[in-house]
Amino acid sequence: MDPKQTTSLCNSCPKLCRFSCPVSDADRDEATTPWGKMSTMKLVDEGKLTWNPETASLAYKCLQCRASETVCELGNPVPETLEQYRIKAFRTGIAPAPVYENVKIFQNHNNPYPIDLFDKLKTNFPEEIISNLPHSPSLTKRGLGGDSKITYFPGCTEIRYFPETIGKTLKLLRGLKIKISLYQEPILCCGYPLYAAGDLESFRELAEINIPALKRYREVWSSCAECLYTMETLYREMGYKISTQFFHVSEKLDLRRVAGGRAPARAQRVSTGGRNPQTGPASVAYHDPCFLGRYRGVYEAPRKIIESVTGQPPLEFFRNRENSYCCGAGGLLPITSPETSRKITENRLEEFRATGATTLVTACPGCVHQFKKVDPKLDVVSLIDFIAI
Amino acid sequence: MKTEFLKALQKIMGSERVTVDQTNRHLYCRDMMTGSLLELKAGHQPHLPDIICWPENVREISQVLKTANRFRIPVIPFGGGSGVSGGTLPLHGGLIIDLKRMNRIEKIDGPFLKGIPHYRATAQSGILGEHLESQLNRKGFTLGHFPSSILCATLGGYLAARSAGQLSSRYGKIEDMVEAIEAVLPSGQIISFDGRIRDYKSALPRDLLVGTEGTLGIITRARLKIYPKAPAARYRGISFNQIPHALTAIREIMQSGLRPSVIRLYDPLDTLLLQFGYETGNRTFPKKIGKLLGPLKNNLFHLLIRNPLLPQKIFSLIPSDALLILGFEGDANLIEEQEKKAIEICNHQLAKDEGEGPGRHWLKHRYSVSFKMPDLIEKGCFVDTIEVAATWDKLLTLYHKVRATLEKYCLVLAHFSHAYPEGCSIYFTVVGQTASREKDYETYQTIWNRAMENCLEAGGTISHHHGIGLLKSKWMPRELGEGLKFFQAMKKKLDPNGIMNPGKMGL
Ligand SMILES: Cc1cc2nc3c(=O)[nH]c(=O)nc-3n(C[C@H](O)[C@H](O)[C@H](O)COP(=O)(O)OP(=O)(O)OC[C@H]3O[C@@H](n4cnc5c(N)ncnc54)[C@H](O)[C@@H]3O)c2cc1C
Ligand code: SF4
Repeated sequence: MDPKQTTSLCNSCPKLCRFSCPVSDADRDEATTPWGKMSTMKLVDEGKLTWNPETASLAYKCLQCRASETVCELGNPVPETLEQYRIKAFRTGIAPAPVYENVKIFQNHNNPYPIDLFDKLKTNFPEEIISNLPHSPSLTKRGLGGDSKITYFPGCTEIRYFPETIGKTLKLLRGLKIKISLYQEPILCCGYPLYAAGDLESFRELAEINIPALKRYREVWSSCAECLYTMETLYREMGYKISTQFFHVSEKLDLRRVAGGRAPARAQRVSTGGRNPQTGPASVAYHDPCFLGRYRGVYEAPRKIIESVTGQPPLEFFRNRENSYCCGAGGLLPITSPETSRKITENRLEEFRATGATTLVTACPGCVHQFKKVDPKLDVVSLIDFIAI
Repeated sequence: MKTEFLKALQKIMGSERVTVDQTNRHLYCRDMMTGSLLELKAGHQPHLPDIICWPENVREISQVLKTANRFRIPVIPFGGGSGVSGGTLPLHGGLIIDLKRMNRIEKIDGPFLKGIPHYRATAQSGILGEHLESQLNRKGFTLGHFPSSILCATLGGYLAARSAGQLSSRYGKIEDMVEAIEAVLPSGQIISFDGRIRDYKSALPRDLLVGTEGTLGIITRARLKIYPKAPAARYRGISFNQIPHALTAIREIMQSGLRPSVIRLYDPLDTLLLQFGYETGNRTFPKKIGKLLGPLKNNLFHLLIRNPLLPQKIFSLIPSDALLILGFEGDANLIEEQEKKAIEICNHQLAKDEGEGPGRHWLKHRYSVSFKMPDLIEKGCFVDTIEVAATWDKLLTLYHKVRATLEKYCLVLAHFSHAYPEGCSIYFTVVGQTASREKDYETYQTIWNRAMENCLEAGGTISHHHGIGLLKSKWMPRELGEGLKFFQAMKKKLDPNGIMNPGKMGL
């Protein structure tokens, strides 16, 4: 991909993907359309605009959600191109201030949150889950992957906000007789926030630490498709060889066994009439996370899982599957443009309300967190929380 | 003066929604007129606006226009910037008013009498076409307006440029869909749906402002006719080996009272593009010809584009068909009957029914051709479209005249679409390449000059639905004749200081 070509292509285009871009939908101007962002980079390269914090900030006005790329019949890679300019912005010191603050936190804690994830795992996590694993390392063998062939990589957002979901995931999987350990390496973040910040150097350093650890496993499973994309694709694109296979938990859940077991409490409640019988049957709508859907192509597995426990397919957002609309949390937008990010989430929630569903189910901890952040009263859960007892 | 004006705007809208920054000035310096892109590629200086603002309601617009009038600042309304006639070019700098913050469907109402379906939607003018249509679809309705720019144009732009969609034969052009508009005149006067214009009390704002491309005021809301989504649709391809036969068939279909939703005839070269532009779908051309012309996609393509007479000569020697796409929407039984009748008419003109395949293929790829344009431009070509129209008696002469003249400069493809009982529009696509971008720009200007001259000489109209803007401005005296004087008088009365979109539409 040559940014000169890709930016030029957009500049000659009549903005055919603008309708699909949640950022331009929220900001409603020309600069934040894929055309506007790419044209600005082109004008900078041609010396017609200066490379300054204002122009550089447009490289960060992107959720990296690939909505435009999906619509674009030329397949022009807008997020990937803008990423190149993020790298340049970061290096030249003119990326938005919150980006540097976030990277600083990352450098201190090895994840984008100001906490030690490993400590959080230890304190929030029942010892039995960790120690009770076949062939799994124990906490005392911190840093060693053990000899389990399959490991569950929770990812920083899940550990930070939904530690109990990790326990439920492992319990559920082990209940299905899957031998899976918990990934317990000192670093528990894939580094995508560094990549999205444009700090390629730190991202590379982190990847170099993570790769030998990941290589110990035949398969890495996760509930976060952003982590999977980072480890499976970005690491490889950077030239690292890794034969480990990566899967989203929804791709691996054995539906018959999920359905065959006792219907989990929550799903039962949903399929038999909701919490409040007065309001009629409660129902579920499924939101496609960008990294699981457009990046990974997984659309049907989560829907089938929902159907297997509720007995009916989930309700659909008007924009679903490859046309899904980002939750607003991608590409560091919540820290670089919090207002725009919030508006995007509100747009998506408006669409959720139009489905008539009472419960929003999705398959990404980042999406769950974002929806909850904007509407704390919303009944939004991850797929695992929805089906696990 | 400008600083004071800027301060006044900031007072109206707050500083967040008014900008003078370089990035925005560059991004609002053109629309999608091929000429301005070629000019920029050739290194010409852009026409930069001085200020850009994003109002959120009609009152703000009213105040802005009052202030602009006080300071005599040019004002250019901006929708999606997808216009192809230079309508939004800030020729004299000034203020761009971007309307996209006004993007809501405010109301959907109807039916107004029990059992008689009549529905309408009230929407703000800054809504994108695709958002308008998909939000109506969610409620089971359609506007029936599907221009190829639906993905990137706004309702205000549709109305200002009198846009036409691909299903215009059934639903009409945008001016047929709009019942009423709310607008702001240059003086700042707001005319509501039922309001009257002070100086033209007997004229409805809709009739006065629709099609005036921001030269007389700003459209802020519109009340539109909408329809429950059609329960059934049928699409077909019918090939003809003679264009005149095909045109007779189209005329007879339209004059017989049938209401196809789509009726588009691609001339042989455009038929080829329709099929070769995309990877899949039925082909009406024999495979051998396909193979022969396959290399068009590769390097040979540039050679041929630079010597357009050659491929056109070769092509005229190959017997090839013109493809008619015929579509109907509505009650399943009714449209089946209508389709039968239309095919019967075609058969009298030695047509070959190609079945559903080409029709479905067209439907699937109906916006795809827009994506070809940036690709071709980046491959070093220039591309443009010239849409003219004429009554049936003049149509074929117009087609041959324009085609024969342009063939010397570029590859010319054409399709006949937007058919009416009295006539039809012709949509020429021109693709060319010269030795340099500067030369491209000169050739492009020659192409337009020749096309417009020939169109007027043949008795056609120079614009069916892309508007006049800057591009066709100089032909307005010949296009409108005495009518231009009326338009100029109206302009003088409504916009005495000439602030609204100066330099456009022959004003
Ligand atoms: C790929 C492509 C395909 C196209 N296909 C079609 C097609 O099939 N049919 C068709 O009709 N057109 C087509 N067009 C042309 C163009 O999309 C239309 O003219 C469209 O109506 C312009 O809408 P816009 O919102 O982009 O207007 P803009 O380009 O922003 O503005 C067009 C003109 O209207 C004025 N204007 C805009 N909004 C307002 C307002 N609210 N009040 C007053 N004046 C206003 C502007 O000042 C300008 O003069 C196509 C263009 C492209 C690039
Ligand atoms: S991504 Fe594709 S559709 Fe969007 S502006 Fe660029 S070239 Fe056009």
